[in-house]
Amino acid sequence: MERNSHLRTTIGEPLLNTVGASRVLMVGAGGIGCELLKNLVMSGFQDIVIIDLDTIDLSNLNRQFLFQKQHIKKSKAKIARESALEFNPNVRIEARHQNIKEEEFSVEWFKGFDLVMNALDNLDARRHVNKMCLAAKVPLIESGTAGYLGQVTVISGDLTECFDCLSKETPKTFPVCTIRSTPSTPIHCIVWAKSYLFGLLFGNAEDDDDEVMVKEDNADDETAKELETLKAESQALKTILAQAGQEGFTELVFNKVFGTDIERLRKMEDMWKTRAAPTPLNYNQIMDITGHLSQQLNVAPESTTLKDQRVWTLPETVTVFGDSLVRLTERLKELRESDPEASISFDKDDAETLDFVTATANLRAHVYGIEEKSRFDVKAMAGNIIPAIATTNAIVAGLMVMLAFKILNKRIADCKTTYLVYDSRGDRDQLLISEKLAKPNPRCYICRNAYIGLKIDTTTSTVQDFVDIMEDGGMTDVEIQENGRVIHDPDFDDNLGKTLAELQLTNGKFVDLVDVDDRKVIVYIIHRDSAALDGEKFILEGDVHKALVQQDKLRKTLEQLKAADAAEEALEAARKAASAPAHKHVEDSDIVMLEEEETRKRKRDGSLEILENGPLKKSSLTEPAHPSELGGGSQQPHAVSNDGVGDGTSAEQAVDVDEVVMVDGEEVDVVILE
Amino acid sequence: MALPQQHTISEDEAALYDRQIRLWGAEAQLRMRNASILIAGMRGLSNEVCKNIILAGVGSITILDHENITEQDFGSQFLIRGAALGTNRAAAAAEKARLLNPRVNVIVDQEDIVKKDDAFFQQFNIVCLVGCTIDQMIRVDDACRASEKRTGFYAANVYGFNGYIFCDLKDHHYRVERQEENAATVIIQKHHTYDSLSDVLLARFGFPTPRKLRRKVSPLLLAIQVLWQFQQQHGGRLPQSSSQEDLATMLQLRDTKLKDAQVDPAFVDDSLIQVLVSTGSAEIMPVCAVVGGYLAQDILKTLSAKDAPILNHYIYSGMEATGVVHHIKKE
Repeated sequence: MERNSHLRTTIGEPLLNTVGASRVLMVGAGGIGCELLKNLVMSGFQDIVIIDLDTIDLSNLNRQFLFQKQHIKKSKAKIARESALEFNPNVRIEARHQNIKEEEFSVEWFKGFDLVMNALDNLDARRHVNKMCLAAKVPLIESGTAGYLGQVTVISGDLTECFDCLSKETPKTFPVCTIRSTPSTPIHCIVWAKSYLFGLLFGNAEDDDDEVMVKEDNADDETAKELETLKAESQALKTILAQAGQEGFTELVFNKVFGTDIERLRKMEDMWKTRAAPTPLNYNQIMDITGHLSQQLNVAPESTTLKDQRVWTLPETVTVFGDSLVRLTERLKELRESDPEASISFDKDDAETLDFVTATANLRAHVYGIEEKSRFDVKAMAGNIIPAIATTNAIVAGLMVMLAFKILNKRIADCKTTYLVYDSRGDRDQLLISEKLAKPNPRCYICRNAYIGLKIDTTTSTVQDFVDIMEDGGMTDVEIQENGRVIHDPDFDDNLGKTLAELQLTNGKFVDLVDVDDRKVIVYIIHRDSAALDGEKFILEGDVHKALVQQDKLRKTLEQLKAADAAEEALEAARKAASAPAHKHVEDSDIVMLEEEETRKRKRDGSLEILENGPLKKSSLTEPAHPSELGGGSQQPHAVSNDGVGDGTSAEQAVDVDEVVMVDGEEVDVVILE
Repeated sequence: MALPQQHTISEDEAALYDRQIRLWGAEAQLRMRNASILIAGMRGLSNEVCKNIILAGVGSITILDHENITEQDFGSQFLIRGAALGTNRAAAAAEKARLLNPRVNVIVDQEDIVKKDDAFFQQFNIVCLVGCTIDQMIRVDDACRASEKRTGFYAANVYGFNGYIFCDLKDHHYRVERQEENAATVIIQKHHTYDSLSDVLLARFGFPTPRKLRRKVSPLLLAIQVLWQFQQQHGGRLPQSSSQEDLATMLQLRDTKLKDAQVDPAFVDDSLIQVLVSTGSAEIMPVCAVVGGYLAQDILKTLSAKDAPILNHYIYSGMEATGVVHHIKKE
């Protein structure tokens, strides 16, 4: 009886051979990745490539079991490989300490795999791998966990929904006035501390326009005036910065941002008609009351709770504010001695930056009478930390290998999307919920499109040559864009004589084409020296004509959808007209919330399902099955999410959704490049 | 579960366990830190459970196994290394298990479980039996129920694509936190009573319609109970995958079992019994990972006295990708 006898008994000799002969790519060697790699090397896989750009951190060790303390700061991919080889030395593992988005990992490179498995923690990389797999026509197993919750699914060309078929929650954004003038929740104060004040004090002068704060487009005169004043205030603070390092600097900054600025805001009576006005703080007054502050900080807290989990007293907060401000200012000064452009950015694992943000956010919260938060909580909210445990990752990684068996056994249609739900109250009978893979969204630009490879010498071939190739394939009056950049259209032919390389249309680039009949094709460039093209000028990997025929079909479907939507909207309007308007005297903030709810509804309705050979039908479960809708109870991520740490573009954030007012203009149903 | 309340979580532990403390809280972490657990029977599934609960940071874990490593064991026991062939399973696994988290005390016990008296099991907070015979399971379960320490009992195994977890906590008190509309957290105290394994095996269902029955019990659980009976009658061995005779015996045992349990004989069809016979002796990594993940999570839940543990069976079907909880009572 040898090593694989259990496997042979269970999955059978033929499948065991297929598994052994397959080549798989694992993207991510973190929480899910460690478990997945162990499962793969123990399940008959012989040829595995792992890629991860990250290095090992202390907070990984509670679940990423291939890593130990002595591995901190080393490459995750490389250490994962070493550790996994100990489980099974007979496996070939190639470890790459790189970003999957690098150019060398082209569509061609993806084509070298039978299967790709995502064990990622951010939306951006997931989107990228999704697209590469669609272009390379390689099946993808997608996974995600957040705390006790998790999800696995399969993405495969025309068979299933792709990662971009449904819009994912965008990173939370806040109206600039909420952050700068009228905060009402702890997260508003944290965003102000982290994204506004921190950037102003320790960032570069030019990048103080922050993405998390969104300016209202239709700002009225009052708002516009307020924005002007705020700008002036920022300028005033910058002049104080010139005094950094001098005696009384802390007091100056403190009294400016928590004193003078607040006093000015307080005078704007209209602002405080419906909310409590802020109370300014004065540095010397707090100092007078409290005396020897720095000593107080060292006193052990009375309770047994951890230092980090206790909310600081006001004097403690002021001390931490002053202390971290001085240290960060000194650090910046040192950095700028060698690089005048140097800046410090917020990092949740950088104790001084976290101290500063915690103290600043809490002082602001104090001013506005908002609940203050512990350093532990601020870390999660400012750093987008998602709780993560070994068991959820282990279960998800196990389910991924079960899917891999089915896919390699050519039974992709038998695969299901599986959700891990959590049962805190003991009233559920299903802890794993599986359902059929969803069909592609016909509006999805990413997967409802033809991907065609073009082997060409980019240094000698021109845009004219490219246009000719595509028009010979059946496109007329073609428009060409690359990542939103217009390369050519019938009214803009300046680039026709330039080579592709001159316009950075180089190896691995995706080029979006659309013709006069609105038919779309995505071409990915594969650079080949002329000598390597067997005497041809170019080689197309795919049939442009066939792609155009498909596009015609798709456009018909979309037209039907549009008609169905219009009918639906008319019905909705009629329904609305029939019922009396419910909200007449709502406050501003309520309106925003209502709009958000509306957007969500529309987002849900936006996705439609086509029954094969049947009429168009609205899907009742368009967000990938919300187990909470199936049984109530715990909250479930509706987008595949992260293990451990979000990067700001993640689907899930540690902040409570109810606390966040989203700006609704940021959300789009389905991205269709026009 | 009565656990001593001592010490506090150190700052170092808080940093190491940061991502999980954010999920289950410092109090749960402290309870885990003070707990002792026995894992009896080192197999692929036990390797998974050990890994998961050691990473979580329990106080001590004792691994009990008297057998030596065979070539086959390398297929699912990732904690053992090639050089350990022929040496004791528990000792070999412990070496790597310790590296997972040096804060956890990993104790090796190489004695045969049959030689252990009841008092041995009663010293732990949780006892978990993996791949043991039904006679051992019943004996140890009874010992745990009689324990002054209110030892919690788990038994589990995987068979090919399938697996089960059984849990008996006698009477278990736990709390559930609920977020109110106004963002306030409300703590609810709850309580569950568990039947013993010997009582559970006597459950009668009273011939309900298949639909009603399916809500109470899955065919797979009944088939697994039949498998236990087979082992009981064959000196602990599992059916041989290609043996027609063993299959026939299993089908007979099924008929008797279903009759006794007052279940329509068609409820557990032949093909299910066939699958169990042909793959029952095999444990594969992904199934170990799923069942081991749930088992470890449930042990941690029980230790932390927060949220409801499994009451009282969890059945995983790899082919259907389902994980279902069944509360089987003696009635």
